[in-house]
Amino acid sequence: MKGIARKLGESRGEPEWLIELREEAESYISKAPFPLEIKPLELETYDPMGKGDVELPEIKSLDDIPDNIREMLIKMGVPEYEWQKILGLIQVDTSSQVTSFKEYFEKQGVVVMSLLDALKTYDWLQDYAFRLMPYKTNKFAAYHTAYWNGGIFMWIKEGAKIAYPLHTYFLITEGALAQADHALIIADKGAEATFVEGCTAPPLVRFSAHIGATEVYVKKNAKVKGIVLQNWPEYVNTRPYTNVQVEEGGEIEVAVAILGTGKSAGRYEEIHLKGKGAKATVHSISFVKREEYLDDVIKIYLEAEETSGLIQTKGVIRDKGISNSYTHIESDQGACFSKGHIECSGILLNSGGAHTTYPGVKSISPSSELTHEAYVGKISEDSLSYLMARGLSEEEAMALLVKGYIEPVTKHIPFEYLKEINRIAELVAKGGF
Amino acid sequence: MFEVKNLHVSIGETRKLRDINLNVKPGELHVIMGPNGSGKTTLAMALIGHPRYKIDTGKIILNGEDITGIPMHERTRKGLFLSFQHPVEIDSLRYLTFLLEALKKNGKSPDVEWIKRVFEKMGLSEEFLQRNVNSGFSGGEKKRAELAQMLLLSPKYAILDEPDTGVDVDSMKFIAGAINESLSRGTGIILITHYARILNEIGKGFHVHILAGGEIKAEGGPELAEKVEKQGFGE
Repeated sequence: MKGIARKLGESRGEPEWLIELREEAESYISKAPFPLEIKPLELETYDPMGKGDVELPEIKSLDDIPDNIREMLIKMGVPEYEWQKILGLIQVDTSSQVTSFKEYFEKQGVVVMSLLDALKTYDWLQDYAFRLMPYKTNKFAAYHTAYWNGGIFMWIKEGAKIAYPLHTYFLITEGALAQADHALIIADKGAEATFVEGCTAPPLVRFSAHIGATEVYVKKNAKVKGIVLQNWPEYVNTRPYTNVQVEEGGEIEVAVAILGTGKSAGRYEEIHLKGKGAKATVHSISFVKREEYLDDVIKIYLEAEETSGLIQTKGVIRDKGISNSYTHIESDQGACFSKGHIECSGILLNSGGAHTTYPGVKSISPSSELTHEAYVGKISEDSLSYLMARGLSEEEAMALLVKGYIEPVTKHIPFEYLKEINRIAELVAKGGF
Repeated sequence: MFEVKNLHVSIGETRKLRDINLNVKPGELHVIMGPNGSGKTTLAMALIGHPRYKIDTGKIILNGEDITGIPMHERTRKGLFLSFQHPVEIDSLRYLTFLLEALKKNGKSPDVEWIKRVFEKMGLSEEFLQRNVNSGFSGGEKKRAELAQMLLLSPKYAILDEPDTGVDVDSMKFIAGAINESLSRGTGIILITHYARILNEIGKGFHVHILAGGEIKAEGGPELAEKVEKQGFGE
């Protein structure tokens, strides 16, 4: 695949340093190892030039939606006003809308633009883009750095506090249908913002492999909340990775809902707490059903004094779903009086699937306190009977218990998505897929 | 009327109840007393339709309709209620969420203010509604919450499995109050108990059935309960 990286970079008019970085990464792909926790992909079989390998009809307006897709959207209960976004039509129809969004954001201290434009505009982004997950880390990072195409840059300027959630997915002007999109988010000193990535309905994608990446810089005393919603079509393999760096007094809170893994999903999230008192919280819920496969990796590194990390993961497994949850909190020498806790659990709704948790803690700092707990079980028969004796059918009882089980995670997710998530929880509980 | 006719019940291969007959009219209280292991809870579970309890022969009839074979949740929707001896703790479901759902399924209005009032009447503060179902409740609190559910669902017939076991004096008053209120509203009640104590709090005339070894051994009025209280179950 040599030479593609330069071609790709040049065709997009990228600065030389970026093209060189692409080339370095490209030459490293074959040498790079796959990450330990994540299922490998045969990357050679995918075309990095961005030609779609899945036949999708051309959709220019809602009238062009094929019946099967229309049916799926209705079944998923997606409101019609979201269809345009899901189908990627927003790029075609509402580019002016994006522009007016931009102006609106800028007034409030938020810079939103395509990553490529940002890299051409701001030289200093050299120190940020592609730095948190160096391409040498693993094969996916190398592949992504070499062939990324499309993405978004969001910069919340110093002290800006944004009350409404920023939708990265819908704002990606050139990348909604990209194979390896890259989001770069910088929350400057004291800034506060919430980001929403993805949507609750499966997007229509042209590629059977997606290797996206997100880099988040949380500066001193900044607070960032991230909502990640993933629901991939069944023909897609995804390997998204997210890297976050938090400075002194900064906070990152992430809520992840994996509603559909596609053919296989390997989600990798790594958070580094670099400054005193920095905090990270990750709540994750995943539904793994039919023949879906998930590797969910969440790691928090406590690298300064009084830092703290919390990870809570919950899996709901049905049919032949396979779910692996890898969680890790590690404190290094400087992390005096740091704290970390991991809580992982899973429930199997029927037999045929599997849920495995690998919670791990590691400390080399004597004053650091790290704990974890884990369990995998099923919905208790007694709970089911109790609810049935109160007039709920077995399916209704199951759905209510599943919704109750995920509530500690879903309470961190904005209201407008909860309806969809609960609907999916119900479908999974009732075996409606 | 709620009728139990010649009911024989097994758990697995073991016959637990033989030839049970009961006729309960609206607003009537039927007390079932008996020593440990006499089959009291088996009777309660069989009547509500728990799948682990197999009805070998006999019939359960609710207002003329044979409900012997229908699933538990449908019996409940038709107006039958069971207050469990050991209400299960569900650590991942809020009491209020559960109650709203149960009310909806039973065709009652899911009115939060009304739920709060009924809980308060049972000596349970609002805070219990925010907790998970029975999670960390004391014995008395669990039973009071069960009877609060009875008041909310106002069933045609209610089976109360030892609502007075393991509760303190205060709880006993709340529980007796709920029973009296339901009776006066016309709910027919089958009260399973070890002790005659609770009956002192219930003013009405009632029927007593003594269950022992899986069979009803004696039947009578309040005097029979008194006799049992003094002499034990004996023969």
